[in-house]
Amino acid sequence: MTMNVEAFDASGAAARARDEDRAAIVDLQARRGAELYGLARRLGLDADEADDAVQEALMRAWLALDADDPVRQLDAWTFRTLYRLCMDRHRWRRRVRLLTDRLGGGGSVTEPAAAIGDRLALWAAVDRLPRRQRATIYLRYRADLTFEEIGHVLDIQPVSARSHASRALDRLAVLLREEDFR
Amino acid sequence: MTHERLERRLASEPAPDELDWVARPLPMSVADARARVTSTHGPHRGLLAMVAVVVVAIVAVGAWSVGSTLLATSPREVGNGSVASPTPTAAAPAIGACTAEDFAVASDPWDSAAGSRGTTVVLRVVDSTAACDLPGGVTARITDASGTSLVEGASDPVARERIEQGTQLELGIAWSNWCDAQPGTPLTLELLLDGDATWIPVVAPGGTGPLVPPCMGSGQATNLSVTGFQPSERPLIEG
Repeated sequence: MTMNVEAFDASGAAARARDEDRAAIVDLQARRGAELYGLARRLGLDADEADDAVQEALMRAWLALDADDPVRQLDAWTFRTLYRLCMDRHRWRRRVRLLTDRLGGGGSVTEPAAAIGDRLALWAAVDRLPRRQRATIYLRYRADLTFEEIGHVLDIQPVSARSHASRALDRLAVLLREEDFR
Repeated sequence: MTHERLERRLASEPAPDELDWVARPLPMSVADARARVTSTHGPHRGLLAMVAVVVVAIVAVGAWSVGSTLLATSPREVGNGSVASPTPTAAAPAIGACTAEDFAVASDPWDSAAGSRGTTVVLRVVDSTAACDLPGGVTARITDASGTSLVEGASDPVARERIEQGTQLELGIAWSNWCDAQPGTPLTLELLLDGDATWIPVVAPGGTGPLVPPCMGSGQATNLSVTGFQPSERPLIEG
């Protein structure tokens, strides 16, 4: 009888944990969805690709919570996963381009148009920064991550994240000054 | 514009596309979530494999029209052997291969040894959710200030190996016997992975480049030797 009660308790605890995991992902999506999407767009994915990447990152975060050794910094972990998914997407594009180039027809898969004219000047300038600086700026000021968390996302030291941010701000100041003179 | 003002603007002005985002419904169970996660070997692997097969099939058909008998007995004698193989599966190893973008790269300062100059290059796999396949070998070259290649060398070919994200590897470079006029500096060391098309520049600490080795014999060619990849025990290099 005791065994049955324990089995019932274990089963109930597992169900509760699963419910909590889903609630955590729903909460993550509500709190961070737009920022994850914004980061994917900053990293050069078009609207549909960015949407897919965010969904994929959320699914992976859910699986990570369900794992034997669940993640602790869920937000930073999810941004990190999204960042890598975006890089994978670029790599995939590049490989398709290499393969199609062998046919002599040139790549039909191309980078999305920057559409800078449609964006606010500030974010258009951000989009002209090198990739890691762009990601650092977005994660610091829109996603409000600490430099330690940004280091975790980009797989670099926090001091390097701080340095990327500082260089990015210097560059942004120059780019926006140039914009003012146009 | 000051950093403070920029920081205030960045924190308060959403990126325009942020506002376009609409939450998609989430699956009801973790099993459904698992089913929706794409392969760990990278997105669209199946589609990429299909493209590869189509490319190889078209190339193979073209090569067949040139001379099927020759192709069947000795594929490497017709054009680029690695592409002209009539077997569609020949393209499969190219999928998932490591490329220049996968690596963070650093090197030691160039050092002098008896008759040669050399360095150790450290590479770490970054920016990927998945492992990638390290190609069999690597080619190194040194270019002068105008981008002209002065010398090129390749490691011995070895079997492809799958390496995980975060793995760090190193290889040794040694340049010897430069008897021509002093090249225009700065010199740059670059690496090219087998099967890739992008040269990876390797910058030594302080932005320094390769040192020019002494002339040991004007009748002999200059030589750049490259060891194969070895696991690296060093502290992790920056991404």
